[in-house]
Amino acid sequence: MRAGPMQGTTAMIRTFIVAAGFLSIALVLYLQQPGAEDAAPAVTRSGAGLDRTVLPDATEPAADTSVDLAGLDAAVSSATEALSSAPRPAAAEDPLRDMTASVLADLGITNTPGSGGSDPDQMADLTQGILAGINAARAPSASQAPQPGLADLVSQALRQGQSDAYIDALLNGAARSGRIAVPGALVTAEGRVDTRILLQQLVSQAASATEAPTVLTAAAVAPSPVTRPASRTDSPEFYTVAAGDSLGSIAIRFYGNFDLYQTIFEANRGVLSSPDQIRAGQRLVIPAI
Amino acid sequence: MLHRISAAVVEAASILVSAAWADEVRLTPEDATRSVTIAGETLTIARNQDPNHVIDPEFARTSRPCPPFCIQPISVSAGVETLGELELISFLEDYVAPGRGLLIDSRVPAWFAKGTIPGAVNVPFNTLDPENPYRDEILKALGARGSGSGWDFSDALHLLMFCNGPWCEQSPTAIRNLVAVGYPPEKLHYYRGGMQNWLLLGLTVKNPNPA
Repeated sequence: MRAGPMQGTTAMIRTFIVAAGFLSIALVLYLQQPGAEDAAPAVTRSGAGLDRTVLPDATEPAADTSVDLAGLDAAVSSATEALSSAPRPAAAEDPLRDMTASVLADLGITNTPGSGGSDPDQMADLTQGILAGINAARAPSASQAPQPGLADLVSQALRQGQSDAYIDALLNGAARSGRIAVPGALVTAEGRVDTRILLQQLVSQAASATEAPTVLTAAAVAPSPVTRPASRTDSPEFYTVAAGDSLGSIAIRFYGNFDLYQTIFEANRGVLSSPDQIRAGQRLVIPAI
Repeated sequence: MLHRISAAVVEAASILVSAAWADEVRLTPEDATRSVTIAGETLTIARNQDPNHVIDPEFARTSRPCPPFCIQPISVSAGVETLGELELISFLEDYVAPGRGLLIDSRVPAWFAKGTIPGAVNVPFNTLDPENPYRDEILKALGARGSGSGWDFSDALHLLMFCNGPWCEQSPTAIRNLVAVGYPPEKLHYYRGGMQNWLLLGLTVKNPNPA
C-alpha cells in the first residue's frame, strides 16, 4: 500500500509538472505575442530592407549600363569631342552626349578617328567633306574664272550663293597660285586664308553698314568655336597659337574685334615679323585693353 | 466552263513566265533593275542574284540595347513622308537626278565609307544638331538662304534621309532637327528601312570613294 500513495503522489507531481510545463509554454507563447508584434515591424523593416536590396538589384543592370556608357564615353571621348561641337563644355552628365557616345561606340566609330586624335578642327574637316559631297552631288562644276582681287572673288561667290567651304577652297586656291593678295592678319598658322574670319568680317561690315539686327553681328562674331576652348578666355595674357588660327581670329577671340589684330601684332613684334608669320605653338602676348 | 479555261490559261502562262525568270532576282515583276544618272554617273540598282546569299552579319543582329537603338515609328514627324525601297529609287529618279533633291545617309562617316545606298551623300546626323557651329553652312549647301532665325527654305532641296535600320534614330533625329529649324516637312522624306532593310533585299550597295 505504500507504493499506492507514493505512486499517487508521483502521479500528482507528474500531472503538476505537465500542467506547469503546459502553462509555462502557454505563458511563453503569450509573452511572445507582444514580441511577435514587435517582430512584425521588424519583418516589415527587413521587408523594406529587402526592398532596398531588391531595388538596387533591379537597377543594377541600369547601373551597369551607365557604367558601360561611361566606359564607352571614355573610350570614344576623342571621337565625341571631335564630332560634337567644340564649344560645348565636356559635360559628362549630358545625356545626349552619353547617347551619342554609345551610338558612336556601337557604330564602331571608336576605332576610326582615334588616329586623328581629338582635333577640335575635325568638325570643320567633317563639314568640309560633307559640303564637298553635297556640292558634288547637286552641282555640275561651277566655273572658277580667275578674278582680280580677294573682294571680287568673295563677293562673286557670295552672289552665287556658294557655301563658306566653297569660298574657302576658292580663296586658298587663288592665294596659292598667287592670283590674289591676302592681308597678313587673315593668314593662318598653316599659311591658309582664314576664310571664316574673312566672312565674319564681311558680314559684320555689311551689318553695321545697313544697321542690320545686332543678332547678325553677334552671330558673325560669336562663332569662332573651332579653335576656342572656353577656358582659354579666362587667362588672356598669353595664348599659344593653335592650328587654324590667324591673327584676325585671335583678335576676335580675345577682343571680339578683328581690327585689334594690330594690337596683338604690335605686342608680339619680337616674335612676329609680320601678321602673316604666326605659327602653331607660338606663344603670344595678349595685351589687356 | 469558259471561266475555268481562261483561269487555267492564265495559270499556265504565269508558270511559263516564272520559269523564264527562274534564275532571276528582280526588283519587281516589271523591273529587273533600275538605273539613274546622277551628276554624270550612271547608277544601277539591282538585287543580289545568288539565291543562297544571306545578310551581312553586321546587320543580322536583332537585339541592340534600347535605348538608344529603339524601334522607330513609321511617321517620325508631322508631314514628313516615309518611303520604301521602290519609292526611294523613284526619289533618285525624280528628285536627285534632276538636282531637286538629295538622298542623305545620316550615319557617321565610318559607316558611310563601308557602303551606302547608290546616290547617297553623307550628312551625319550630328552635323545637323543645333550645337554644330557649322550647321548653317550645311543648311546653305542644302539650298537654304539666310541665317540664324531667318531661314528661307523656298529653294531648299528635297531630302530623303536614312540610317542603319528601323532601330536607328539618327535619321529621325536629323529630320526633327531640320523641322525644328524650319525646314518644310513636305521637303523631308524618311526611308525607315535603312541599310538593314536595303541589305536584307540584296539591293546594290555602293562604296563611296573618298573623293
